[in-house]
Amino acid sequence: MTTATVPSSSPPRPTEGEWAVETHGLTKRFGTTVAVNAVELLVPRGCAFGYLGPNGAGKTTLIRVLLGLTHADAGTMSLLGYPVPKHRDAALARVGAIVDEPRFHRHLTGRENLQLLARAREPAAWNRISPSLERVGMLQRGDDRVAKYSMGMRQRLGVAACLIGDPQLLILDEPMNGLDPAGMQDMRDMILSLVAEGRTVVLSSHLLDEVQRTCNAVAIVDRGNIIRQGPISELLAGASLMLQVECSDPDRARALLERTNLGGHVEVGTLGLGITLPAGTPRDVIAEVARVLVEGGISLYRLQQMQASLESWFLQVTSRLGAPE
Amino acid sequence: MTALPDVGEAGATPPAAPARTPPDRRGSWIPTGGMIATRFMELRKRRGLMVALVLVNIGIPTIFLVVRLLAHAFAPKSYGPAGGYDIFGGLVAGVMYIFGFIIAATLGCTAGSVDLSEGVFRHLVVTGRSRLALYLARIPAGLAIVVPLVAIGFTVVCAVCVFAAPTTLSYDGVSVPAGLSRVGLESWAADHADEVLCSFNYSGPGLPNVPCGNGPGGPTITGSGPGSSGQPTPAQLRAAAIQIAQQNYASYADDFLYPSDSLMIRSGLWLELEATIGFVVGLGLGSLLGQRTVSVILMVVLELILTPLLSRAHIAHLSNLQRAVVGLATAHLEPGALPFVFGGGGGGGGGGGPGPGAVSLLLPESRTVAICVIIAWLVGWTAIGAWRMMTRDA
Repeated sequence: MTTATVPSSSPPRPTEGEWAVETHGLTKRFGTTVAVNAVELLVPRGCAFGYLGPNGAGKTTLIRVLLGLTHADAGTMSLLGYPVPKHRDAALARVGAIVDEPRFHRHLTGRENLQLLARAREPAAWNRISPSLERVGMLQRGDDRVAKYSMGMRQRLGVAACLIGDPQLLILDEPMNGLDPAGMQDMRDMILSLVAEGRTVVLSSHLLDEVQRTCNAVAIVDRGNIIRQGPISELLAGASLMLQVECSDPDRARALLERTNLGGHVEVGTLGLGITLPAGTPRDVIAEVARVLVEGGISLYRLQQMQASLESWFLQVTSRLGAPE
Repeated sequence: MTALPDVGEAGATPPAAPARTPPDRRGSWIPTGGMIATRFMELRKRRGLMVALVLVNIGIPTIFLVVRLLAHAFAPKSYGPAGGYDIFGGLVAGVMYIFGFIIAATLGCTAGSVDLSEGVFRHLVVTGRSRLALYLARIPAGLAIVVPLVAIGFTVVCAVCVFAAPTTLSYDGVSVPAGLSRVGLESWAADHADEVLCSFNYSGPGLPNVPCGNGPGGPTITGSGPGSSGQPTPAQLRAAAIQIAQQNYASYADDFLYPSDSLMIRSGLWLELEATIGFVVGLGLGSLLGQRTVSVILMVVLELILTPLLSRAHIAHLSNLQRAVVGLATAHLEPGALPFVFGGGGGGGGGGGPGPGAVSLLLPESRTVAICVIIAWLVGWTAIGAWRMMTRDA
């Protein structure tokens, strides 16, 4: 943090704390619009961390502030234990990032673009160009001009550009954009392998399913505020209990259930009866639902507890389900 | 995507830093040689831009000279030699001076703006490298392109002007051997008294009547000496021719078949200075605006419209402001014996200037002031461009 006492002549040694990214009260305004509002973000080291939010929530702005691409109006932050912006160069020496879509000089080859970036990094980065290209599956196309690349290939090249710095922290902004299913699978595998190496990957995305498959922990941002953060399993444990019911008479079943004191919300849909129960509802309630329906003379074909998904939970916490744009 | 040991392998911890790593001075404002080299590569590989720069700076003078060479080869009586002193002066002051500035400015504007417009600027910033170093790396990289380009074009001009120069010097319409000493010219004049008496300019007393009748182009002979009432003897004519040659020697000595080594060196350095200014100012302007097209247009307007206007107009209360125009300053550093640039400036140096009777229409400016103005432009635009790069959101 910027309040830390450090000699100004040389950057401090990074603290071996548990956070790869740490922000306190981080705020960024554009005129009267608050894009990032007093954000308290803690990203654990050595994990894949999802940074989720709807369009315009302030995801990219926060990343740009973290990387020094734009300045913060208030708050403190640190990357890998280095306070920034005070020791930004030392922090970024071990950070790789893709912000927005990866763009490169189109008249140069992929390899030449990496050479341009490697020369701006430490001398050893030059030797990592070919291995990085090979790791993202671009070694064969590395000597083609970027103008001939597809969007997916540029994404891969962007990841290679991150890897030439041998980063401990990777910040990837929508890395799945433009990738076909096989490419998404490759990207997912690569992120997991990077995490397995002990690196930290911050994945900003609106593809909730991909984040759920890839990340261990997430933060949800909405209108510049982080409204939830933590391990996915813990967050989903706090989600509502949802039951799906197929029966002979859904309308009468709904009426029967609404007369009970189950305390949930019942609605009839195309797939049958949907029952949403508050978080923390005991599992005995499922048996109670079956008993009420059977005793009411309704034939029960299927009663299934639905696994809470990150998407449904995301929509709940961001209150965007059915909300006007 | 396959995992490689060099970049890291699944299940392994990040490789520890080697015991002896080269110093990583990425916070330093001084660009590394590698940064300059890759920036040079990035600029050099802009094929369209490079072709345009070569065409303008080398192609145009070359085509002009080749056409003159061919024309002279096929019709030597109608078309004079391709090279020579006059052609050199015209090409240097009229073409290469202007075009050299424009190509350098175009490259500077490109170097100053494309990282931003092509979205690479943020990649570079994320490396943690000092933004000032990123900016400064562009200056040597760009000059490594501009300086040789100008030098090649200039070398072509020099080569043709020297090797295809006229074999005899035309002085006041008379073919005179070039490079004669004062005694040599007097001796030659004595042997060609009629031509000298009829064609060379002269102002002074004591010459005999001249048989050619003092027609147009002939000498202006005033007064009369002893024996002027009759026809002059051959000895009198030779003496008069020698007298005229003595008066004309200074002017004759400034006429050359081809440019001297000294003039070529000074002209080359002057062109390189102009190109360097164009590049550095274009770089700063491109960085400031973040747009190549607008920057190039502004630079062309500065060179082709504003500078000639402000260099020649005499505006009473704005003369000091006019002297701050960099084009006026470089015009005042123009080597002597070259034609005036901007249709009327420069040539103030030694060596004879642009010819007898030529008058500079440029706003007067001392060399010291001109040098100060140039330094101020170079430093000022570098500071502006660097400041914008350091404060710009990426």
